[in-house]
Amino acid sequence: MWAYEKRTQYPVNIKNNDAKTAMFIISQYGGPDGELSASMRYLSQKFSFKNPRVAGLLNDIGTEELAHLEIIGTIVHQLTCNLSPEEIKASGFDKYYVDHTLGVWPQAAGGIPFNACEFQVKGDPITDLVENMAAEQKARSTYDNILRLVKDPDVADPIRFLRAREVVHFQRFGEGLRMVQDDLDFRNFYAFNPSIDKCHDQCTVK
Amino acid sequence: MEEKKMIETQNMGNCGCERGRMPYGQMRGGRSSFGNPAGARPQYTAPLQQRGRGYDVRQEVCMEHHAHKVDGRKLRKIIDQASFAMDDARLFLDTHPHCEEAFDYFKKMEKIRKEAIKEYEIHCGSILSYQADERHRGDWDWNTGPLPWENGCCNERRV
Repeated sequence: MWAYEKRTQYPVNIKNNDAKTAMFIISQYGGPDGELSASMRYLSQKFSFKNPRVAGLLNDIGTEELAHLEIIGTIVHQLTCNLSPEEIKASGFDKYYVDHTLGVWPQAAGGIPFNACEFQVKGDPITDLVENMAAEQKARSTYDNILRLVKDPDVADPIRFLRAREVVHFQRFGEGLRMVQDDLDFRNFYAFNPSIDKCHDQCTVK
Repeated sequence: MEEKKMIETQNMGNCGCERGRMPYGQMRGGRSSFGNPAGARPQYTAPLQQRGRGYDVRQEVCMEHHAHKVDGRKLRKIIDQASFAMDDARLFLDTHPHCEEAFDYFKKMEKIRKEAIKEYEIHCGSILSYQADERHRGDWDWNTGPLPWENGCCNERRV
């Protein structure tokens, strides 16, 4: 269900290459707390959610994370696109370059390739939403770490935008959690997992 | 063409939605073991109030049409900002479905976006995937022109 428009969600216009910066920003592309991880997490979790409003929220936020993935990829690309072999050798970027040249490949800054072990789809709406809230905080912390190291204002600008979005997503997931809990028995939220448990005749859980 | 007005910022304040008014945990009269991560009273602050540095993208090459030139960069900026405003409002409406103030804001941004896109597609090229201008018959332009992720120092390498 994806159509796209030919534009990035936020403008990225980086005038100077910087391989060292690219190497730690790439963690938000393919790292454990990065945008690809977030996107795959939310877009996969949605299938087992019975509450349509919250499933829709997961879809919407998962889609926005794909847009953010593109922004990070754009940042890494613009930071590396014109590097010379001397610059590559001098910056420590050579280890990445030898396998990927100037391409953008989803890995963490430390080299671990993107993989599904970096997120969970538990099939329980409370668990999944709490996981998502944690994921947004982890992403926010990662952006905080990036901002401590980045000096170029062209790079800091989209990073600050992405960081602010993580905080907003955290808010929305918190509200989604309340929406799920509203449908459960307040005496014990954990007694019933709407994704799998079946209702008795009288209950009205959606 | 006269300059399109920049999108006004708008602080929506307390929208008065049910979910916003009720303190956490009181909707069903019970306790909850979970804290209130979203705050007691969600406020909708329009995203444009948090505007960052100025927008600066490469010059859009726009065709002359009907004897007036169009500033593609400005249109693009309006489209980006209105679209983002709608993205943020959409997420808010997902969890505050009864909030009419947010809906009004969404519609207002929708109108601005629609008009800007209409101008942009006529003068500067396709941006939406499910429509095509007749002028591109025999001259398909969807996969031409500056790639959206090319900017800054990558400009000189574009063919």
